[in-house]
Amino acid sequence: MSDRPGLIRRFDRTGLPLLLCRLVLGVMFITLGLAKTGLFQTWARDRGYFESGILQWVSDRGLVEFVSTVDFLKLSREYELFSDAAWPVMNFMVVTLPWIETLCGLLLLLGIAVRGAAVTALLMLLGFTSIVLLRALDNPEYVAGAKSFCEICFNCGCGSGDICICRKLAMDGTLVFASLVALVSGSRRLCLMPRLAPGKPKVQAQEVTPSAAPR
Amino acid sequence: MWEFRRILVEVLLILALGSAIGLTANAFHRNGINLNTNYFASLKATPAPIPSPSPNPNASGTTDPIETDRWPDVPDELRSVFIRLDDLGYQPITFAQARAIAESPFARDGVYLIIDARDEEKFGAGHIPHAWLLDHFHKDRYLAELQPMLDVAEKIMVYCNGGHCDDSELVAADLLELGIDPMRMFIYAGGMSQWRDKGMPVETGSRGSGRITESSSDSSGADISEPLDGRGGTP
Repeated sequence: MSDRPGLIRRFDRTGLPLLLCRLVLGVMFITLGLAKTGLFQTWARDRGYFESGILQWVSDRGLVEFVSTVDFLKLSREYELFSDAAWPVMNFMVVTLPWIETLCGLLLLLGIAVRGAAVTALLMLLGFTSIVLLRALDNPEYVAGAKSFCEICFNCGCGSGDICICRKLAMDGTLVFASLVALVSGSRRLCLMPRLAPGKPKVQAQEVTPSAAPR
Repeated sequence: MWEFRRILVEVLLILALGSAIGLTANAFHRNGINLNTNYFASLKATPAPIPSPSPNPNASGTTDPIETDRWPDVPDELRSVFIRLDDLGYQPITFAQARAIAESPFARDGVYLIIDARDEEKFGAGHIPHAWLLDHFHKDRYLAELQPMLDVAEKIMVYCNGGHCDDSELVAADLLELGIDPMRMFIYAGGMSQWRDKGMPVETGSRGSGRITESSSDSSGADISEPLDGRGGTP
């Protein structure tokens, strides 16, 4: 990393953009991750949390679709990413992926291992967005010309229920941008633990104050 | 370079910790999945071909509603489902035929067995009255109780949400594995969504809870031209 602040670091001189990006990424990843864990769904349903409060609100509006592990398995299978012989990989992915998402979101929100969490989030986003895009392009009605691209809507298994592809791409684009900011930003404002992994002692990146910022 | 290695270590730690949490949560969750099970292995298995049914009076001399009219008035959105199920050797049935089974006194007595192939939560939210729950993904919980009834039932109707849901097909494949005669088994292709749309009664809670509600619908479901099973009473 260069000592000279780059474009994003200059933009980030107050530390607020990173904070905002961490908040957005954290909330999205925790929400969409938990929505697919199954465990959370059972826990909340048993306590009647879906019948009132914020869970009912987001659920009724279709902002988040809480699914069981089995439902997530069925939705993931629709992508036909793996051959039939690779079902153990599919099972493993379905069980672990929502928790990796949730953990990533939590780390970003708390400011622990921010760069590692940002890279993990970025890799997941790029992967998910690519396969969702490929599936949309493969939509029979779109291929037949009966629907425009933005009219393609389906349940992508992302935790957001039925969603139209243009909205999904815009949402993922925003999250990719936020991940990139979290990755390259030098600020560690309100971070509990900026770096998780032990490493060679290094001069800590200084918060660049407006007065000290290069002109 | 050092920064890159640091980030890589963080990523690997996150993946390892996330996976460990996921595996632990799945192991202790009552609706978790078995990692060693291929749940969809039976989906493509095609059962033995079934001879075309012909109008055939049953033992009591009345005409069977399923056998007299196989696919009357199949809605366009369900046609592909009917064709696929038929190609696989299953017997898809229409709303009218499903209704004839569900409203028959035999459905109460277990002579006609109605199987809901969805999960416990969806079953509790509303199922066809007299239906039994058999969730393919947790079938061990239900089969012990159902097995004696499956062996003696004259007709077995399986349904899920309707349309392209695979659950009824998965359960039908499970039943074939148990040795159930495919001629006794029918898949209600319209499923629960069509049942509700037609304004049919829905039972909530567990089987036999008695909490029957009429679905709000756009049609009354009264346009049934097919006869109900004429056999009244216990055979």
